[in-house]
Amino acid sequence: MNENDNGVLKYLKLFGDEVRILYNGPIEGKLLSSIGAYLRAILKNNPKVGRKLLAVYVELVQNTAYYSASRCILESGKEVGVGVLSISEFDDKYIFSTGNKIKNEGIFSMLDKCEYINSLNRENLRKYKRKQRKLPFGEKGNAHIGLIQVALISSNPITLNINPDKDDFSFLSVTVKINK
Amino acid sequence: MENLIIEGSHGTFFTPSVNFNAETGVCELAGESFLEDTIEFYDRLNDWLNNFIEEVKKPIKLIIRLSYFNTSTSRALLDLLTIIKEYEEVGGEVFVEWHYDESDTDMEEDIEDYIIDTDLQIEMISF
Repeated sequence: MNENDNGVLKYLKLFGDEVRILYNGPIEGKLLSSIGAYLRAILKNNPKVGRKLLAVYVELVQNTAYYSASRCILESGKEVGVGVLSISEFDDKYIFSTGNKIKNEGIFSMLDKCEYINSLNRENLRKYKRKQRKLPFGEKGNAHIGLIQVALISSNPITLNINPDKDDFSFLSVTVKINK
Repeated sequence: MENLIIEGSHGTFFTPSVNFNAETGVCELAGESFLEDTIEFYDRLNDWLNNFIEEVKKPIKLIIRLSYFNTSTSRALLDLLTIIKEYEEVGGEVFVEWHYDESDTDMEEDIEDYIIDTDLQIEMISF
Protein backbone atom coordinates (compact mmCIF):
# COMPACT_ATOMS: atom_id res chain seq x y z
CA MET A 1 0.00 0.00 0.00
CA ASN A 2 1.25 3.46 -0.88
CA GLU A 3 1.26 5.74 2.18
CA ASN A 4 0.27 8.75 0.06
CA ASP A 5 -2.85 7.34 -1.48
CA ASN A 6 -5.46 9.03 0.73
CA GLY A 7 -5.58 6.21 3.24
CA VAL A 8 -9.01 4.82 3.88
CA LEU A 9 -10.65 7.48 1.70
CA LYS A 10 -9.84 5.45 -1.37
CA TYR A 11 -12.12 2.68 -0.14
CA LEU A 12 -14.95 5.11 0.52
CA LYS A 13 -14.50 6.55 -2.98
CA LEU A 14 -14.84 3.06 -4.39
CA PHE A 15 -18.21 2.69 -2.73
CA GLY A 16 -19.59 6.15 -3.39
CA ASP A 17 -21.52 8.60 -1.24
CA GLU A 18 -24.35 6.15 -0.68
CA VAL A 19 -22.44 4.07 1.88
CA ARG A 20 -23.84 4.45 5.38
CA ILE A 21 -22.06 1.56 7.12
CA LEU A 22 -18.97 -0.30 6.00
CA TYR A 23 -17.28 -2.78 8.30
CA ASN A 24 -14.78 -5.61 8.08
CA GLY A 25 -13.82 -7.51 11.21
CA PRO A 26 -15.17 -9.64 14.05
CA ILE A 27 -18.95 -9.70 14.23
CA GLU A 28 -19.56 -9.31 17.95
CA GLY A 29 -22.11 -7.97 20.40
CA LYS A 30 -21.12 -4.32 20.77
CA LEU A 31 -20.89 -3.86 17.02
CA LEU A 32 -24.30 -5.44 16.56
CA SER A 33 -25.93 -3.16 19.08
CA SER A 34 -24.39 0.07 17.76
CA ILE A 35 -25.44 -0.69 14.17
CA GLY A 36 -28.80 -1.81 15.51
CA ALA A 37 -29.15 1.59 17.20
CA TYR A 38 -28.48 3.31 13.86
CA LEU A 39 -31.18 1.22 12.19
CA ARG A 40 -33.56 2.01 15.03
CA ALA A 41 -33.10 5.69 14.30
CA ILE A 42 -34.33 4.99 10.76
CA LEU A 43 -37.16 2.97 12.26
CA LYS A 44 -38.33 6.05 14.16
CA ASN A 45 -38.59 8.17 11.01
CA ASN A 46 -39.83 5.48 8.66
CA PRO A 47 -41.20 2.53 10.69
CA LYS A 48 -42.10 0.36 7.71
CA VAL A 49 -38.64 0.44 6.11
CA GLY A 50 -36.84 0.57 9.47
CA ARG A 51 -38.53 -2.64 10.63
CA LYS A 52 -37.48 -4.40 7.43
CA LEU A 53 -33.89 -3.14 7.71
CA LEU A 54 -33.59 -4.30 11.29
CA ALA A 55 -35.04 -7.74 10.52
CA VAL A 56 -32.82 -8.29 7.45
CA TYR A 57 -29.80 -7.04 9.38
CA VAL A 58 -30.32 -9.49 12.25
CA GLU A 59 -30.74 -12.51 9.96
CA LEU A 60 -27.83 -11.72 7.60
CA VAL A 61 -25.37 -10.69 10.29
CA GLN A 62 -26.23 -13.76 12.36
CA ASN A 63 -25.59 -15.96 9.33
CA THR A 64 -22.26 -14.26 8.68
CA ALA A 65 -21.13 -14.55 12.29
CA TYR A 66 -22.19 -18.19 12.47
CA TYR A 67 -21.01 -19.55 9.12
CA SER A 68 -17.85 -17.54 8.51
CA ALA A 69 -14.86 -19.86 8.08
CA SER A 70 -12.69 -17.02 9.31
CA ARG A 71 -12.79 -16.91 13.10
CA CYS A 72 -11.13 -14.86 15.79
CA ILE A 73 -10.94 -15.07 19.57
CA LEU A 74 -11.80 -11.95 21.54
CA GLU A 75 -10.18 -10.84 24.80
CA SER A 76 -13.07 -12.44 26.67
CA GLY A 77 -12.10 -15.80 25.17
CA LYS A 78 -15.24 -15.92 23.06
CA GLU A 79 -14.78 -17.11 19.48
CA VAL A 80 -16.65 -15.10 16.85
CA GLY A 81 -16.90 -15.09 13.06
CA VAL A 82 -15.19 -12.46 10.95
CA GLY A 83 -17.10 -10.84 8.12
CA VAL A 84 -17.93 -7.76 6.08
CA LEU A 85 -21.08 -5.70 6.37
CA SER A 86 -22.23 -2.79 4.26
CA ILE A 87 -25.38 -0.73 4.13
CA SER A 88 -25.93 1.80 1.34
CA GLU A 89 -28.79 4.21 0.95
CA PHE A 90 -30.18 5.40 -2.37
CA ASP A 91 -33.22 7.61 -3.14
CA ASP A 92 -35.54 4.65 -3.53
CA LYS A 93 -33.85 1.81 -1.63
CA TYR A 94 -31.29 0.48 0.82
CA ILE A 95 -28.78 -2.14 -0.27
CA PHE A 96 -27.63 -4.52 2.40
CA SER A 97 -24.58 -6.76 1.88
CA THR A 98 -22.73 -9.18 4.08
CA GLY A 99 -19.69 -11.25 3.19
CA ASN A 100 -17.57 -13.95 4.69
CA LYS A 101 -15.15 -16.73 3.89
CA ILE A 102 -16.75 -20.15 3.54
CA LYS A 103 -15.58 -23.68 2.83
CA ASN A 104 -16.13 -24.67 -0.79
CA GLU A 105 -17.98 -27.83 0.20
CA GLY A 106 -21.00 -25.80 1.30
CA ILE A 107 -21.27 -23.63 -1.80
CA PHE A 108 -23.46 -25.71 -4.09
CA SER A 109 -26.12 -26.41 -1.50
CA MET A 110 -26.17 -22.72 -0.66
CA LEU A 111 -26.50 -21.71 -4.32
CA ASP A 112 -29.25 -24.28 -4.89
CA LYS A 113 -31.22 -23.08 -1.87
CA CYS A 114 -30.89 -19.48 -2.89
CA GLU A 115 -31.95 -20.20 -6.47
CA TYR A 116 -34.93 -22.13 -5.15
CA ILE A 117 -35.91 -19.31 -2.75
CA ASN A 118 -35.68 -16.74 -5.56
CA SER A 119 -37.87 -18.91 -7.81
CA LEU A 120 -40.79 -19.00 -5.36
CA ASN A 121 -43.69 -16.55 -5.29
CA ARG A 122 -44.70 -15.09 -1.94
CA GLU A 123 -47.31 -17.73 -1.14
CA ASN A 124 -44.93 -20.61 -1.85
CA LEU A 125 -42.14 -18.86 0.02
CA ARG A 126 -44.39 -18.70 3.09
CA LYS A 127 -45.20 -22.41 2.66
CA TYR A 128 -41.50 -23.22 2.40
CA LYS A 129 -40.74 -21.21 5.52
CA ARG A 130 -43.45 -23.04 7.46
CA LYS A 131 -42.01 -26.37 6.32
CA GLN A 132 -38.47 -25.42 7.38
CA ARG A 133 -39.70 -24.00 10.68
CA LYS A 134 -41.21 -27.34 11.65
CA LEU A 135 -37.77 -28.98 11.62
CA PRO A 136 -36.26 -29.39 15.09
CA PHE A 137 -33.74 -26.78 16.24
CA GLY A 138 -30.31 -27.27 14.74
CA GLU A 139 -31.48 -29.65 12.03
CA LYS A 140 -30.16 -29.17 8.51
CA GLY A 141 -32.46 -26.81 6.67
CA ASN A 142 -32.98 -24.54 9.66
CA ALA A 143 -29.95 -22.66 8.45
CA HIS A 144 -31.79 -21.46 5.39
CA ILE A 145 -34.85 -20.19 7.19
CA GLY A 146 -32.95 -16.93 7.73
CA LEU A 147 -32.52 -16.54 3.96
CA ILE A 148 -36.20 -17.35 3.38
CA GLN A 149 -37.11 -14.68 5.91
CA VAL A 150 -34.82 -12.14 4.21
CA ALA A 151 -36.51 -12.85 0.85
CA LEU A 152 -39.96 -12.47 2.42
CA ILE A 153 -39.18 -9.26 4.28
CA SER A 154 -37.36 -7.56 1.42
CA SER A 155 -39.81 -8.82 -1.26
CA ASN A 156 -36.77 -8.90 -3.53
CA PRO A 157 -34.46 -11.67 -4.80
CA ILE A 158 -31.30 -12.44 -2.89
CA THR A 159 -28.04 -12.17 -4.81
CA LEU A 160 -25.15 -14.48 -3.98
CA ASN A 161 -21.66 -13.81 -5.28
CA ILE A 162 -18.91 -16.34 -4.85
CA ASN A 163 -15.25 -15.62 -5.44
CA PRO A 164 -12.68 -18.42 -5.08
CA ASP A 165 -10.14 -17.80 -2.34
CA LYS A 166 -7.09 -19.83 -1.31
CA ASP A 167 -7.18 -23.61 -0.81
CA ASP A 168 -10.66 -24.99 -0.17
CA PHE A 169 -12.25 -21.64 0.57
CA SER A 170 -14.26 -18.96 -1.23
CA PHE A 171 -15.61 -15.57 -0.34
CA LEU A 172 -19.39 -15.44 -0.25
CA SER A 173 -21.37 -12.19 -0.54
CA VAL A 174 -25.08 -11.99 0.15
CA THR A 175 -26.85 -8.88 -1.13
CA VAL A 176 -30.44 -7.80 -0.80
CA LYS A 177 -32.38 -4.69 -1.75
CA ILE A 178 -34.99 -3.12 0.52
CA ASN A 179 -37.31 -0.68 -1.21
CA LYS A 180 -38.09 2.57 0.57
CA MET B 1 -47.53 -22.10 41.55
CA GLU B 2 -45.41 -18.99 41.07
CA ASN B 3 -45.82 -16.40 38.36
CA LEU B 4 -43.16 -16.18 35.68
CA ILE B 5 -41.92 -12.65 35.25
CA ILE B 6 -39.00 -11.66 33.05
CA GLU B 7 -38.18 -8.03 32.45
CA GLY B 8 -37.55 -7.18 28.82
CA SER B 9 -34.25 -5.60 27.87
CA HIS B 10 -32.65 -4.02 24.90
CA GLY B 11 -28.91 -4.42 24.65
CA THR B 12 -26.82 -6.51 22.33
CA PHE B 13 -29.74 -8.91 22.20
CA PHE B 14 -33.43 -8.14 22.62
CA THR B 15 -35.16 -9.92 25.50
CA PRO B 16 -38.95 -9.87 25.45
CA SER B 17 -40.87 -9.12 28.61
CA VAL B 18 -42.78 -12.05 30.06
CA ASN B 19 -45.63 -11.95 32.55
CA PHE B 20 -47.25 -15.34 33.04
CA ASN B 21 -49.77 -15.22 35.89
CA ALA B 22 -50.55 -18.51 37.63
CA GLU B 23 -53.61 -17.11 39.39
CA THR B 24 -55.41 -15.61 36.39
CA GLY B 25 -53.94 -17.76 33.60
CA VAL B 26 -53.17 -14.58 31.66
CA CYS B 27 -49.80 -14.96 29.95
CA GLU B 28 -48.28 -11.97 28.22
CA LEU B 29 -45.27 -11.90 25.95
CA ALA B 30 -44.26 -8.49 24.65
CA GLY B 31 -41.46 -6.44 23.12
CA GLU B 32 -38.76 -7.83 20.85
CA SER B 33 -37.18 -11.27 20.76
CA PHE B 34 -33.65 -11.85 19.47
CA LEU B 35 -31.74 -13.86 22.03
CA GLU B 36 -28.31 -15.32 22.51
CA ASP B 37 -29.83 -18.61 23.63
CA THR B 38 -33.35 -18.85 22.26
CA ILE B 39 -33.93 -22.48 23.26
CA GLU B 40 -32.97 -21.92 26.90
CA PHE B 41 -35.16 -18.81 27.18
CA TYR B 42 -38.29 -20.33 25.64
CA ASP B 43 -37.80 -23.63 27.51
CA ARG B 44 -38.53 -21.67 30.72
CA LEU B 45 -41.79 -20.41 29.23
CA ASN B 46 -42.76 -23.83 27.92
CA ASP B 47 -41.92 -25.53 31.24
CA TRP B 48 -44.07 -22.99 33.08
CA LEU B 49 -47.00 -23.59 30.70
CA ASN B 50 -46.68 -27.37 31.02
CA ASN B 51 -46.67 -27.08 34.83
CA PHE B 52 -49.68 -24.77 34.74
CA ILE B 53 -51.56 -27.22 32.53
CA GLU B 54 -50.68 -30.12 34.80
CA GLU B 55 -51.20 -28.46 38.20
CA VAL B 56 -53.59 -25.52 37.84
CA LYS B 57 -55.69 -26.74 34.91
CA LYS B 58 -57.42 -23.34 34.53
CA PRO B 59 -58.09 -21.49 31.24
CA ILE B 60 -55.08 -19.86 29.59
CA LYS B 61 -55.23 -16.50 27.89
CA LEU B 62 -52.07 -15.90 25.89
CA ILE B 63 -51.51 -12.29 24.82
CA ILE B 64 -48.66 -11.67 22.38
CA ARG B 65 -47.46 -8.15 21.70
CA LEU B 66 -44.17 -8.82 19.94
CA SER B 67 -43.13 -6.08 17.57
CA TYR B 68 -40.13 -8.06 16.32
CA PHE B 69 -38.75 -11.58 16.54
CA ASN B 70 -35.99 -13.33 14.62
CA THR B 71 -36.28 -16.72 12.90
CA SER B 72 -34.91 -18.68 15.88
CA THR B 73 -37.64 -17.16 18.01
CA SER B 74 -40.14 -17.93 15.29
CA ARG B 75 -39.33 -21.63 15.72
CA ALA B 76 -39.58 -21.35 19.52
CA LEU B 77 -42.97 -19.62 19.29
CA LEU B 78 -44.27 -22.51 17.23
CA ASP B 79 -43.40 -24.87 20.11
CA LEU B 80 -45.10 -22.58 22.62
CA LEU B 81 -48.28 -22.29 20.55
CA THR B 82 -48.27 -26.07 20.02
CA ILE B 83 -48.37 -26.57 23.81
CA ILE B 84 -51.43 -24.29 23.95
CA LYS B 85 -53.08 -26.17 21.08
CA GLU B 86 -52.45 -29.54 22.71
CA TYR B 87 -54.03 -28.26 25.93
CA GLU B 88 -57.10 -27.23 23.94
CA GLU B 89 -57.25 -30.67 22.33
CA VAL B 90 -57.50 -32.38 25.71
CA GLY B 91 -60.27 -30.06 26.87
CA GLY B 92 -58.36 -27.02 28.16
CA GLU B 93 -59.89 -23.62 27.59
CA VAL B 94 -57.52 -21.37 25.66
CA PHE B 95 -57.63 -17.88 24.16
CA VAL B 96 -54.87 -16.40 22.08
CA GLU B 97 -54.64 -12.72 21.18
CA TRP B 98 -51.91 -11.27 18.99
CA HIS B 99 -51.53 -7.49 18.87
CA TYR B 100 -49.61 -5.95 15.98
CA ASP B 101 -49.03 -2.64 14.23
CA GLU B 102 -51.47 -2.31 11.35
CA SER B 103 -48.68 -1.13 9.02
CA ASP B 104 -46.65 -4.28 9.73
CA THR B 105 -47.84 -6.60 6.96
CA ASP B 106 -44.92 -9.01 7.55
CA MET B 107 -46.13 -9.54 11.12
CA GLU B 108 -49.69 -9.98 9.89
CA GLU B 109 -48.53 -12.76 7.55
CA ASP B 110 -46.51 -14.33 10.35
CA ILE B 111 -49.58 -14.56 12.56
CA GLU B 112 -51.62 -16.03 9.69
CA ASP B 113 -48.89 -18.63 9.20
CA TYR B 114 -49.06 -19.60 12.87
CA ILE B 115 -52.82 -20.06 12.52
CA ILE B 116 -52.23 -22.40 9.57
CA ASP B 117 -49.45 -24.29 11.36
CA THR B 118 -51.13 -24.76 14.74
CA ASP B 119 -54.83 -24.68 13.83
CA LEU B 120 -55.31 -22.39 16.82
CA GLN B 121 -57.86 -19.60 16.76
CA ILE B 122 -55.65 -16.56 17.14
CA GLU B 123 -57.45 -13.27 17.46
CA MET B 124 -55.49 -10.77 15.39
CA ILE B 125 -55.76 -7.28 16.88
CA SER B 126 -54.19 -4.45 14.90
CA PHE B 127 -53.49 -1.05 16.42
